[in-house]
Amino acid sequence: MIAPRSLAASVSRVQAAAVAVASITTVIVGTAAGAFTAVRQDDGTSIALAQALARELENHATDGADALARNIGLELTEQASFGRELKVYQRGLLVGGTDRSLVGLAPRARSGCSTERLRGQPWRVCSALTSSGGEIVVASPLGRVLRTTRTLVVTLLAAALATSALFLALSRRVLRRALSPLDELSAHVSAIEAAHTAGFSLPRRWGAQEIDAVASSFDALLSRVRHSVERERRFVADASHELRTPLTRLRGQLELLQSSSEDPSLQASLQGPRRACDLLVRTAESLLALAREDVPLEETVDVGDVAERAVLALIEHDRCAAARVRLDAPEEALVRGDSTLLGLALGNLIDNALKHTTGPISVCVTSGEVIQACISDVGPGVAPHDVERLIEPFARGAAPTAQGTGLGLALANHVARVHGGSLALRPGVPKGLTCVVSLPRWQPRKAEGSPAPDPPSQHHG
Amino acid sequence: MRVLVVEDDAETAEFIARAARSSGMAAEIAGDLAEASWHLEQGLFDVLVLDVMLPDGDGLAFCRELRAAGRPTPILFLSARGTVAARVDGLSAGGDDYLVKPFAVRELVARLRALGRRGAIARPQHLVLGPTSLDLQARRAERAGVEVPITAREWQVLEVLLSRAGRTVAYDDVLEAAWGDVSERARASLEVIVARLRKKLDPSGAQSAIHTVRSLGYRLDLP
Repeated sequence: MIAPRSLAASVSRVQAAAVAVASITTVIVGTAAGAFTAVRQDDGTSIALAQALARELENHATDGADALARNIGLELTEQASFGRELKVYQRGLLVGGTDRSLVGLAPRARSGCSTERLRGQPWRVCSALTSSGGEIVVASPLGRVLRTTRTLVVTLLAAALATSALFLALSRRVLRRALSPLDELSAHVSAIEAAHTAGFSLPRRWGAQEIDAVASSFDALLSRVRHSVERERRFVADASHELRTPLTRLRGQLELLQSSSEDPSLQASLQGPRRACDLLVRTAESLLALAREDVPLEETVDVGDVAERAVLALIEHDRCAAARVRLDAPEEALVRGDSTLLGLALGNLIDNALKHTTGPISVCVTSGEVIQACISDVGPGVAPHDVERLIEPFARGAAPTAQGTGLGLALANHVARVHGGSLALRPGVPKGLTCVVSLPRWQPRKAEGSPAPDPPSQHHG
Repeated sequence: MRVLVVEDDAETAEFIARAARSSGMAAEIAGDLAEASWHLEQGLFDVLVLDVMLPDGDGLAFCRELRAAGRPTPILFLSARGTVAARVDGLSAGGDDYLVKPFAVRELVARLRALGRRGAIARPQHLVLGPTSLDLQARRAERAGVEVPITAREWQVLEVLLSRAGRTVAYDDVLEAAWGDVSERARASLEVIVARLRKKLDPSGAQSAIHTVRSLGYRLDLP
């Protein structure tokens, strides 16, 4: 996967690159044009010089051409050549000129200019012919032009780089400022919790059309989420009421029938329906608990006490099963939360353990940095690759005897999570399974202000 | 002891009444608030079992009206909502106890008995026991500005003892009201819980309010 990049950095990088390319293009084109013009100008001077000398040579053709040419050449060279070399040929023979050592500056028998390499340096060589067979060759070193050009290139490149760097810094700042509402928007959006969307809305104005559009789509999404959360909450409340009413009836009537009957065979035959009813109650409670995200954590709960209650409830239903459970909760293990949910979670885990093995089950509650409730059995355990799946609602183990609500692990996981804790499944050695519910330990702190005399009466849970 | 059961689900009302009768109480049934008002005008009741949601109104509002009219009859709320907030709502409306559906019949009967025995005494909202101040409605305790972590079970025990303050409450009565169970195991837990509760209410032990009455039970003395 490619690591995501900052939008501001990418855009400013692209911009800086564009600026650099534009600057460099300008440098190249500008330098080329400048150099071309400089060479043309230099050529013009050389040709003018050659032509002037050629005219002189023609006018004085009858005199000793050698001496004349030499004199004129030297004079003119000093005045206007600027480092030019000059040769005078008469019918192919060198008759004068500057610096005789400039080898290779041969007559060329044609007018015009060309570039040549002489003594290891580039020269522009221009020549003018006379009608009497004379030729003036003027060579001008290109080095000067090249040096100027090089300086120009270096200066312009430096300027281009500086501009690009400046632009990079500037545009990144500008972009960052332009994009800063996005950061704020994202902070706003992350602050929203799915369960607490009521009364939460995003500001509408962010100072940029694009971001306003994003914000308003988020807001629309938020209101859809709000509706669905609200519907879910209503559904849970309704379902809770609709389920609890008949369950209350069923459970109460069974209990009453059992306790009022003198007939032992009737009592025994009612044991099954009682158990089924209890399972149904627990399934309903678990489903309702699973649907709840916003659990108010307001009770001080001793996890050891919760575990004990779960075991006691078991004794009431099934003495044989209860005899297999050993509870070890030596000290008080305080957490902040909902005792009903925690009881449901531990009860489900103990039930699960009982269902998957016929051996002993150990329930222990320890109070350390975190509060841990461990339920260990010596049953078949679970395969490591099954752990993730088993935490999903209605998942069942591979064992053919597996039975139960199928909600136990999912519920324990959910309850641990809403309490800020977690559920871990650890395979036992050599076999078995330990479910560990870890919960943050609660420590009473200095109260803020005095205790509230009137507890809030408006709660919609 | 006379119990009025105000519950719109006829079958639920019926088994509650039967359970109450089978443990020696007299029970009447009202299906809605109008019927309940009629019954209350006709005779005296020792305890009211009141469903929170009724077809012709809100049980909490009805309870507030009764209290405003000066009726002190103890009220036990039945509700499908089991949150702490719902319980606080019920108690702050003037209720005396709160039970979440579906409940165990034994527990309901035990609580009815406790309420009936206690009679119509005003239940204090705030209380100071030694160095600790208690808010009984919100179930919060505080000492020197720091919350004292009293667990739900400890509150239950404390409430049972408070309801008969100054008198000895038998072990089994405490167990029945707080555990719904009188086994040896529960009895052992009760001892642990009372010891913890004493320590939490008064760490120095100098002015402990809870006394053990040997081989009988516990007694809580109000200051």
